[in-house]
Amino acid sequence: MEKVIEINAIEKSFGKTKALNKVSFEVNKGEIVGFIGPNGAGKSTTIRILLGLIKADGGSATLFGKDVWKDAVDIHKRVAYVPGDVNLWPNLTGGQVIDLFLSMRGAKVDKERKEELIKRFEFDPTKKCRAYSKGNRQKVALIAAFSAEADVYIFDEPTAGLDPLQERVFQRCAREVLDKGASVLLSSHILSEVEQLCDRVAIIRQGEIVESGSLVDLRHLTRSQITLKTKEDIHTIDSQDFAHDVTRDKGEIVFQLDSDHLDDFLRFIQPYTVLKLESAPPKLEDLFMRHYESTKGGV
Amino acid sequence: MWTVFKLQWLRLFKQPVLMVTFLGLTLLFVYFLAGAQGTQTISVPTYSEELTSEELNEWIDRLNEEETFLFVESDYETVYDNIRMNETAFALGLTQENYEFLIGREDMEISTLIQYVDQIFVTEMRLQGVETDFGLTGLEVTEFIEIETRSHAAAVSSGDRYRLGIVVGMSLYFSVFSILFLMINLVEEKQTGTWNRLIFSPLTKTKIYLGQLTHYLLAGMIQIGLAFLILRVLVGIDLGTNYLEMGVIIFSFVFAIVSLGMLLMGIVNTPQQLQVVIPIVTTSMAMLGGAFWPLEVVTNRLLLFLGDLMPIKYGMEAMVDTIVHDHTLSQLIVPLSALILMGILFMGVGINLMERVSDN
Repeated sequence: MEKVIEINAIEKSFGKTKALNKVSFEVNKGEIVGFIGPNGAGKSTTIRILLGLIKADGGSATLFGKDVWKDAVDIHKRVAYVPGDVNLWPNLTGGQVIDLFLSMRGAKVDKERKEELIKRFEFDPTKKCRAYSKGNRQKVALIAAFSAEADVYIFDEPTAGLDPLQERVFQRCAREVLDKGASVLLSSHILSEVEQLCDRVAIIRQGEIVESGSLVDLRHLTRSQITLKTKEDIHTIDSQDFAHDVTRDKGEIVFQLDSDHLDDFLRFIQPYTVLKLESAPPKLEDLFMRHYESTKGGV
Repeated sequence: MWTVFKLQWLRLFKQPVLMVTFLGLTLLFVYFLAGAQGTQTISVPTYSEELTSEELNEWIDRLNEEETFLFVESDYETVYDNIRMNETAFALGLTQENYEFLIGREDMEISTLIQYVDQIFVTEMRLQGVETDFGLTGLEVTEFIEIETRSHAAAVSSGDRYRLGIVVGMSLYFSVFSILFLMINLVEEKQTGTWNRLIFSPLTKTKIYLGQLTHYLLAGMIQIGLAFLILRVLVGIDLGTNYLEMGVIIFSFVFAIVSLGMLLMGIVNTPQQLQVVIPIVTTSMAMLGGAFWPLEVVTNRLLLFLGDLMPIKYGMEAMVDTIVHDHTLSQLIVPLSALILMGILFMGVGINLMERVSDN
């Protein structure tokens, strides 16, 4: 599969602080990759390096096989970017800024597409940018990005200021560009969004990629929540290796089950009369929290 | 590049207050403070305690034959009071066979005035002497040698040159203000993050800078051009007809100032600091460069040396020379090269500093 974004062991330090330590991941053509991690983990730094705004200290980062720093201008012609905090010229109107962004790309503006997006995002382009809320400023960047015919879309927490309805519009638009064959890198805090949209995720923590792969693969790494009710009381479950955080509530046993020990668990409960067995699939959030908590714990 | 250029104009048109204010200030200062209300004649109150009113008027008519000064009839008490109250600097007193000057304060016109009055008085006295000695009446003076002055320089008094210097100096001073204040936009863009939006477009940094700098260059040139046009048409100040030379000077000057702006922005990088630094730099530059007073009155060598480093000095020098002496481009090569050289130097250092700052 054609690799559109390829990051290979990039490093970046700001003074003594090491912001990125051998970060590597890739985005294939037609794929949407979620890029998640707690605040200050290095998501935006990675994106800024990808955009050629700052230079990496080591490693290599390429977009379309071109070096992101040396061939920045060429690359920018094919990339659309929406930052988390959109900064606009306060005395220009939203419509003017959208036109400006598009004209900077040097391509012809697809007016119909632009108008359609303005309608879909329910955006008023006649007001001056200083009067816009965070969400509206975000819409300016989103409309400009989706109006452009780009091959790669990079979103850095694009829906942070949007209401749930607009979030859905964003997700639909993202799927549309994917259908057209574009690739998307989505950095986000909203894990449900990443879960719904992304084929693969990369989790970054303290400047290092700690987990990377398809959501299906990653789920194996985590645990399912099992709610179990049996006729008999099972005391021995507490001492089983596959069960974690065992609690009892109104005769029900709730615990976390290692996904790769499902078989052991089934064999374990065979002798008992099972009245209720519920299994909740692992959420991305659990996966994320596992890493997040370990960060907090200083591991 | 043109997108960035267009963007800057769009922003300027949405907020033109700054430019209009500085243009207004230029006109106001030139009009009121520089005393440039058209070509002024200096009026000299003339009194006499000995001569009759008729005799005095005769003298005044004779003195007013040339238009350099305007002699106005007055009386000793009024003149004395006015000088005492510092309302007039000097007055001419006539007696039967002599004249005197009442001088309240030194004025640069006095020496010319004394020379002028002396010349007329001597001529008149000699004629009277001849009339008495030879008993003749109605003598006429025939000029055997006619002197035709071709050079503009001789025709322009130091006062005119000074006034023109103020007109040009003020216009340049306020244009420096508005160019530099306009350039704060650039730093603001870097601070608010819109600069990154530009960097993250398929435009090279060179094009972004070129777009921005072309805008400031053109805005500055338009401001000076407009100020001169208004001063010429509405106020009637003669600024000559050497449009090409003036255009080149304005371009070189604005280029030097835009570069100076880049240098300042390389050193100081928040809009708030710049708002403090710009007036200090601009005003001291104008003072040292001779925009407020002629450099001839400065004797301190250090100040004169510092003045030599100020772009405004070369801008003024070149403009005054062009207007007064019709200097051509080849004659203006020294001030023009100085401006361009300063521009290149400031720009080089400025962009370097700026880029170093933004790399971190």
